[in-house]
Amino acid sequence: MISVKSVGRPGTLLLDSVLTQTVLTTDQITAIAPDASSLKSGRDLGTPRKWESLGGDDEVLWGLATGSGKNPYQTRVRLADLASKCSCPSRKFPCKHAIGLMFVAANQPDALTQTERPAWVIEWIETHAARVEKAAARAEEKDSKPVDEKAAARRRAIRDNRVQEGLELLEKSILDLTREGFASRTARDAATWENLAKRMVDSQVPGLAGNLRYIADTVLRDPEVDQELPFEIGRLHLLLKVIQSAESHDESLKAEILLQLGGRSLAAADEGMEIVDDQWFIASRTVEERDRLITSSTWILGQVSRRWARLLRFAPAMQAITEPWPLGSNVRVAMKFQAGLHPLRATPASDGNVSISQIPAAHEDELEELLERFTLALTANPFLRNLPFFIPLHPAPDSKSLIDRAGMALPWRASDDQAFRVECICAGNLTPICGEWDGRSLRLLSILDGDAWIPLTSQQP
Amino acid sequence: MTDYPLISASLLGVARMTAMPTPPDPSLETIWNALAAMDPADGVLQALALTRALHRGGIKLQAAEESAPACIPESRELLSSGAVDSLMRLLKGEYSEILPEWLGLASSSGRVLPGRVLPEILTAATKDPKMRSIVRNLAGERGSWIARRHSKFSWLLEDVIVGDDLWYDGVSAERITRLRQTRASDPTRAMEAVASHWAGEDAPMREAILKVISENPLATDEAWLEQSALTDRRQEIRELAASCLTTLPDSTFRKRALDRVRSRVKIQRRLLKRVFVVEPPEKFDPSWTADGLKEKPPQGTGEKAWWLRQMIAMVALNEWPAILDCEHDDLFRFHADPDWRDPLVLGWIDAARRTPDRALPEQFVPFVAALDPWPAGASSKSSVISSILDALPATRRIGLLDDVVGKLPAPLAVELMVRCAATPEYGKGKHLLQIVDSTVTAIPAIITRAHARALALCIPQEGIQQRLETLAKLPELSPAAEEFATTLEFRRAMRNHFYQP
Repeated sequence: MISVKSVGRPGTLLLDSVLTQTVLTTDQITAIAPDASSLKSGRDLGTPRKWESLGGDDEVLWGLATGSGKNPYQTRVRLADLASKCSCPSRKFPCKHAIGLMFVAANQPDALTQTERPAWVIEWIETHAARVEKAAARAEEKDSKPVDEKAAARRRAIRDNRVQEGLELLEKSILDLTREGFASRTARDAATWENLAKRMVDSQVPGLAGNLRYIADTVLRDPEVDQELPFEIGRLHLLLKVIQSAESHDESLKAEILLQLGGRSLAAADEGMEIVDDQWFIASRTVEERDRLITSSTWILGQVSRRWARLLRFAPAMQAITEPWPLGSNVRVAMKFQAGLHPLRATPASDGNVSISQIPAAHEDELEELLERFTLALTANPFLRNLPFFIPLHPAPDSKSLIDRAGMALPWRASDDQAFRVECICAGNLTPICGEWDGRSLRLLSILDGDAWIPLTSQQP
Repeated sequence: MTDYPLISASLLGVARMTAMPTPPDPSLETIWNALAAMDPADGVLQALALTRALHRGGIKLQAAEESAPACIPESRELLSSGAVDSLMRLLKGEYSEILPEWLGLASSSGRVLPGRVLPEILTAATKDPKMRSIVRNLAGERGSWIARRHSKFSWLLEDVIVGDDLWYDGVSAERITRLRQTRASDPTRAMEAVASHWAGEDAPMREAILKVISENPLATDEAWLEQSALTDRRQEIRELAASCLTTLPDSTFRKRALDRVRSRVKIQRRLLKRVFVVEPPEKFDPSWTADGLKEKPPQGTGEKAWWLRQMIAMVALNEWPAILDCEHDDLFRFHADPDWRDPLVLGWIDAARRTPDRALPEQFVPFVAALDPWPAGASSKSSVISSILDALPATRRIGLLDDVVGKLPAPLAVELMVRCAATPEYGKGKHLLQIVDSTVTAIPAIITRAHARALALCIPQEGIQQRLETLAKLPELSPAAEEFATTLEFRRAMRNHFYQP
C-alpha cells in the first residue's frame, strides 16, 4: 500500500521515495486527460468499485479494471512521469482506465491495498528500464563513434546555406513591405506572414517562424495594429541585422541569437549554462495548442535567488504534456539557465523535490519595481517581449487597469470573463497576482484565492 | 513623446517618403540623422525598433482614480477547495441534479464561497431564482460588494438592511428590499409609498412589488390592490393581485368569490349517498370581469362550464370544507353530477395551481393521483401534483409523495420522484425507496440516465454505502444503474468535503 506522507488538500497524493518526492493532484490528472469524455469516463472509473484489484508503491500504480471484455484490463501508471499502459483497446492516451486509476490514487489512496507488484507490472517497469538503458547506451555509442568530419562539415554547410537563404528572403520581404507601407493589403494579410513563417521553417529557423506567426495571430488582431505592426516589424528587422553580423558580437549576444533562431541551434547553447539551485515556486502555467503542437509554458520564481525562470515543454497534438510540478507547489531543484542577453528560459537539472505548502510572499510590492526591472531587462535585451511579475494588486473599477498598494496603476488587458473573475476574487482588496508585463499592458496568469493558488489561463490545450 | 510622423510614414510606405520623419524625442536627433543617411527602408525600420524599445521601457505609472471602498473581510471561513471543486463540476453540468444538495450542505456549513466560483454561481442563481436565498447567504460580503457594481446581480442585496432613501433612488433590488423592510415595520407607510409610485413603475418592477405583497398580504393592502393592481393592463399583474386578495380573510374580493360559488355548488343527500349539486350561471355578469373572469370560453368549451370553472378556480381549495360544511377528508369523495363534474374538477385543479400552498395537499394529491380519466383541458397530472408538492416543506413533500407513489402508474411515479427529488429522512420514504431500487436495477433499463441521476438524490446519506454494495453484487448493471451508482459515489465524495477539512 502506498504510504501517504502528507496530504496538502483532498485530491492530493504526496509520496516519498528515496530520491525524490512526487505529488499527484487531481488538477494534474485533469490536465493530461486527452479530451472531456475521457476525463468524465476516467472520473467515473475513479472509484474502487470499478476495479477488481488496486495496488501501488512509490514508483508505480496498478489495477485490474472491470471492463466489458472477458478479462479485466491491466492498467499501470508510472508516477515519475505519469506514463501509463493499459490492455484495453482504446487508442486514447492516457486511456480512461489510467485516468481512473490516478483518480483513485489521488482521492482514495487507502484503496490501493496490493503492495506486491504483479508480474505484468514488473515486466512493464523492467521493459521501460531496459529501454532507457538501451537508449543511454546508444547515445553513448553515438558519442564515442569517430565523427566523420567531412560529412558533418557538408551537413553544416547545407544547413548554413538554408539559414542564410531564409534570412535573406525575410530581409528582402520586410524591406519590400516597408517601401509599400504597413497599411497595405499585403502587410495586413495574415497569409503573407504565415507563408513567410513556413519558409522560415523550411530554412531551419523556427524561432523566426514563431516571430512571424506572432504577427499573423496576435499583432494583426491587436486593436492598436497601426502602431504595433510597424513596431513588431522594426524589432524583427533589428534581430535580422544582429544575426547577419553575429560573428562580431560577444558570447551572450551570440547565445541570444541562437535562442532567437530556435530549433537545433539550442543544442549548441547548452554549453556554459548557469545553474541556480533554489526552492522554486510554480507561479503560473499556460497550455496552448498551435499548429498541432502543444506548448506548456511555466513561470517559476526562486525563493532565495529571487530569479524568474521559464520552463517550456512541447508535445504533438493529441498527446498530453505531463507536468510533474503542480501549479502553486514548491520544488527544490537546480535549474539550468540558457545563456542569452537576459536569461529566463531554463530546464531542470533533476526531477526535483515537490512540496505543497504555503504560497510564498510576493516577489515585488509595487508596480514601480516591475517597471524598473523591465526597463533594465529591455536595456540588456531589446528583443525581450515580456517579464513575469508577482505583486499584490486589485482591478480598477473599470477593469481597464490594475492598482498596487501605492495607488499607482498600469493598463490591464483581459477578457470579460477573466476581468469579472479577478474582480470577484479581489473584491477591491490587494491580492497576490502573477502575470506578464509586455511594456504595454499587464496580462494575468494566476491568482491567490483564499489559500488556493488558481490559474487564470487555459491548463489544457 | 510623439511618434506619429514615423508611424505614419511606415504605414504609407517609404516609397512615398521624401525625408526621414522627425524623431519622437529631441534627444534622438543625432541617431535620427545617422539613420537618415541609410537606405530609407532600413533607416525607418531601425528607427521603429528604437522607438519600440523607448515605448516599452518608458511607460509611466498612472495615479489610480479613487475607487469605492474594498469589500469588508468575511467573518466566516471559506468553503474547502474540495467542496468548491465539486460545485464547479455541478455548475458545469456534471450531476447538476445534485446542486440543491450541495447548496444545502454549504448553507449548513456556515461557510462562504471563495471569489473564484462567484461568476458561475451568481450567473446560475440569476437564471434560477429558487437558488437565490441560499446563494445570497453563501456569497457573503463579497456577493453584496459585487452586486453594488453589477446591476444584474442586484438580487443579492435583497437581504441587506437599506436606508429609506433607496426606495427613491436605489436599484430595483434595493427598492424591493426597502419595501419588504418597511412592510415589516410600518405596512401603511409601505403601501402609501407603493401607491404613490405605482403609475411610474415599469412592468418588471410592478410584478416584483406584487410578489413581495403576495408573500404576506395585509388588510392595509386591500384598497390599493382592488383599485390599482386588479385593474392593471398586464394579466400577470392582475392574477397576482387576485391571488393576494383571495388570501386576505376579510377582503371583499374573497367574499365576492365565495358568494359566487356558495349558491352554485352544494352537497345534497340523494338515496344513500351525498352528491355535489352544481348550478352553473345562466349568464355572464359584466361585474365579474373586474375580478379576472373571462366571458368568452376557449374553443370546445361551453360558456356555462367555462364560467363555472373560473368561479371555482377563484376559491382556494381549503375554503371548500367550510363552504360545504364537510370534513377535509370527505371533500373529494362525493359524487358529482356527470354533466358538471369536469368543470368542477377543472376549477379545483386551477385553484390548486393558483394557490398551491392552500390546496389541501393530503386530500387533493391522492384524489388527483387516482383521477382517471384525466379531464381534457387541464394541465398535466404530474405538473399539477408537482406544483402542490413544491409548495410544501421538504419533509412533508417527501412524506406525501411516499403515500401516493404506490398508487400511481410506474412511469408517472418515477416522473414525480424525478421532478420533486429530495432526500427523505433516514428510515422514512419506504415506498419511494422501494420504487427507486426496483426501477434502477431493472434490466433492460426503464429510465434514462438523467432520471437515474435524479433518483440517486432520493437515497439518504446513511443508505448510500449499502446501496452501492448491493449494486456491486449484481451480475449486470444497466447504463442507468451505472449512472445511479456513479451519482451516489459523487454524492458520497461531495459530502465528505463538508465533513473533512
